[in-house]
Amino acid sequence: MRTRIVVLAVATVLCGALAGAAWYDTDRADRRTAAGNEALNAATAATAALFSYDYRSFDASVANGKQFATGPFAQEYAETTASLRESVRKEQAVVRAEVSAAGVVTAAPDRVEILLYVNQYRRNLNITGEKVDQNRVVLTLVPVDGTWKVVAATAI
Amino acid sequence: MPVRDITRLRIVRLPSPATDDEASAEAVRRRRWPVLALGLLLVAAMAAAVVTGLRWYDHRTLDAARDGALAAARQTTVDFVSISASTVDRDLQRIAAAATGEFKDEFTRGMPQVRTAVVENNVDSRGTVLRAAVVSFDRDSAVVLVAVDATVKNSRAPEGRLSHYRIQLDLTLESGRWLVSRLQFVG
Repeated sequence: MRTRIVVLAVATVLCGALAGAAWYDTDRADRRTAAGNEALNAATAATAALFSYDYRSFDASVANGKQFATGPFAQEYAETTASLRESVRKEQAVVRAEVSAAGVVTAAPDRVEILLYVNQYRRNLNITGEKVDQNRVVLTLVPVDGTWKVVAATAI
Repeated sequence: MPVRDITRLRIVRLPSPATDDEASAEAVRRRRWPVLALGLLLVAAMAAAVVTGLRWYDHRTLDAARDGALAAARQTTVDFVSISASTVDRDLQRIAAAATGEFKDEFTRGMPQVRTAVVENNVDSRGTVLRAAVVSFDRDSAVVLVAVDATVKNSRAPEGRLSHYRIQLDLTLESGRWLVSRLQFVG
């Protein structure tokens, strides 16, 4: 009887441990996938906001873009836009950023890297008509109070 | 029949005073319930292990699909932009072997012209993947972006010129291999 109890107990613990480990691993994978999908959506919206501006509403564009930035990139974004401000007004620059394609490079629950193909349609006094820059942008996003924000951005 | 037996058992045993026999039967019953409880627990644990195990296996298959598609996309993209006049036939064959469907048809149809152009201009192109990213995927199909740079040397630019590409590939799993069914330069 005692042997039977020990065998049953060991088998129960083993099965329980197996179930626990499988659940833990699956849960982690689920959270990775969810993080990737959420960040992918956020990155597309962030790109349009961060890389577009209009000399007629430059401050509003910047204020809008700021919402999508955090950490070191928020600082970088503030500095870059501040230094652009004068020339944007002078050249009457309008830049519209559009995402042609985007995908997940790496995803962890707390950090996701997204690759985006971004077209920037540029108009200003120095160019006739519209010019298009075809860029490849890598955004790193982290969750801040439930929303994904850009913590690093590089053109590759 | 069994019903009658149990009834009789109860009638016979219940009114009778406790004997040694009955006491030991009680002890057995008392010792048996932990076994029964453990048995039930084990069944529950086994059921949980099977359910979570299946889900885990499902996820692993999906992860493997993602990794497989990504690796195939990287390799095919590098191959696609790495062609040299000296190894042109092997280079083109390698791409054709990784292709299927629409892309294979298009590519094999265009191969003779590409071959001629590569040889005539003495092209030597080498590609490097900067980033590869998954747009979407499931067990047997995937859409992948590959950002790749290539240094292209030819008779007119012997020093080489760096080109930046934005490539998107559709892949399908065919008899265990991820093949490219569509390759496009994203505008």
